[in-house]
Amino acid sequence: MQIYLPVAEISLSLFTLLILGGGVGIISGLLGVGGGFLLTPLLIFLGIPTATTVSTVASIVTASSVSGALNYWKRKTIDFEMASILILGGLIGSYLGVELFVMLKRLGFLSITVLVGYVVFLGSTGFLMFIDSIYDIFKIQRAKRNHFSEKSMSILSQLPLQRQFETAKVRTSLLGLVFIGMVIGFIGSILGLGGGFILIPMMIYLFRIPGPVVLGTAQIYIFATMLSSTILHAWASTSLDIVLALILILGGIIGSHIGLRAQKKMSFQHLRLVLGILLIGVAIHFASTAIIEPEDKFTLILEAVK
Amino acid sequence: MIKHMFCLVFCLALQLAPAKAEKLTFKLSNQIVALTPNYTGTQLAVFGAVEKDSKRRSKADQYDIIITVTGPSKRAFIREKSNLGPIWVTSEERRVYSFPAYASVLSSRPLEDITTPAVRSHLKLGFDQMIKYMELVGGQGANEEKFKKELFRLALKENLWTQDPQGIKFFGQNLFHGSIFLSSSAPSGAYLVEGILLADGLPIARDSQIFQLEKVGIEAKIDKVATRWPLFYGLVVAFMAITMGWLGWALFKRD
Repeated sequence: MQIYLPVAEISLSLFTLLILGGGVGIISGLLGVGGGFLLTPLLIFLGIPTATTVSTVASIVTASSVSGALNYWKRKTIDFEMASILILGGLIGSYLGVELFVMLKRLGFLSITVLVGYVVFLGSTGFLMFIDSIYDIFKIQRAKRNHFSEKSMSILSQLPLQRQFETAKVRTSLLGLVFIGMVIGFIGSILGLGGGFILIPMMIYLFRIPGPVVLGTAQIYIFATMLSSTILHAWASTSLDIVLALILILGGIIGSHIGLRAQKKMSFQHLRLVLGILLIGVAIHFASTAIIEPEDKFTLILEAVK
Repeated sequence: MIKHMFCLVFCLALQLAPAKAEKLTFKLSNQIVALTPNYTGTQLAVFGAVEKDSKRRSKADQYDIIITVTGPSKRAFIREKSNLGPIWVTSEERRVYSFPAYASVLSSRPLEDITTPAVRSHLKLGFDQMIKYMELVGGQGANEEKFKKELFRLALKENLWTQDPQGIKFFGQNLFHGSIFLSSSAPSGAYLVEGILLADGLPIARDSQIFQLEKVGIEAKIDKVATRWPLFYGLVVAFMAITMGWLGWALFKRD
């Protein structure tokens, strides 16, 4: 059955959209990430205009993060204090990111920056997670890795303004957390991502925060940034499609439920392994689009005149 | 549709009273096409008649009709990729600020057989002529021809522009018909249908019609809210997302 999307002005299969929302929902429920890094390229591939995709994905990630956050809240694995510090940094970072985004667009370096950014961040995060979970699963000695992360941990977590976080059960620096929030907000607003997949490993490797608390706290961070992104995008670009959002959220709710159930049966190391492989896959996909000589060197893009 | 067609043909035939100059008259099967939730593209019929000039010499029995349909304009970006070391990136871009996101040229014969390039250029008939007069922004005028050629090729490749040199068919002595096809991604708005009658390669009569591809009902309301009250719309979507996220959690939390 085809359905007409009133703002995107395109007719797509309802079934395809539900499957897509469900699939991304499973991944986000299972791995505790928003899933924007998968949904954005897939929607663009279906022919939905980029502006509509970016703003609609923000609303979908908002919905999935509400479900996720409520789950973690029940399990009492959200450190609200830490989340609010991260969000504060995130807001500053997003603001700076948008400034750079506009500047890069004017200079014509935007597409190359986004491409390299996707490959570097998705690839390196994925690789790090992959290696680390392999080490954990096979209980391989990891003197070298520990040396590196202990060192970087000591820099960021030993900055001034130390504070003991109750839920996370760590003593760390407020300044370090604001800085991490800023970095994620900055990268996220340039690449059009929530940044959960970068935030989670940073919290694990640089601050040594326990796994469940990382997932819960990251979920709140994703919720706050994606909620503001939804409203700001709708306001600024008037290209958010409520019908598309509704269908994908419906699929996503069912999918994330399946994902959350599956998560209980899997160990944290295995989940990291899956996320790592997924990130490497998306990074390889982006890299291959850049390295393989395009069949058609010219592209035509149409944008509505508002 | 068929009933509609006969009715139109009959009405047009009635108008064919003797006159001095040729006249071109045509009608469309619909004036308004509604974009309902199950819209997946549609087809409009064009019916028309040529009112003949009794004094014209017999040689000009061959009439030709060219119908140009132009849809709403959008902003077009045409980008070229080239290799920067091992990676392929966008190296050049041209913009067209008013680019018809839908265009169709229907004719009774190939345009080159109907008339000379000079006449086509004056009347801007055919896509090659439309492209020629299009204004490209960026690149300080460099490679303009190359980008225009690619723009034309891509507009045809992506089915934004279509041409059918057999799209207009005469039947009976001076009646004709054709079809305008709209895809599922045709933009909403006003479509101008311009018809031109040629004899011996010269234009002798014109007629034009307009039709609307319109959002109706809930689609129209959504679009209106999204563009006129964007902040309110954003808040509504955000509220919807939160509510649905909460509902999803509440429904499944027992597991």
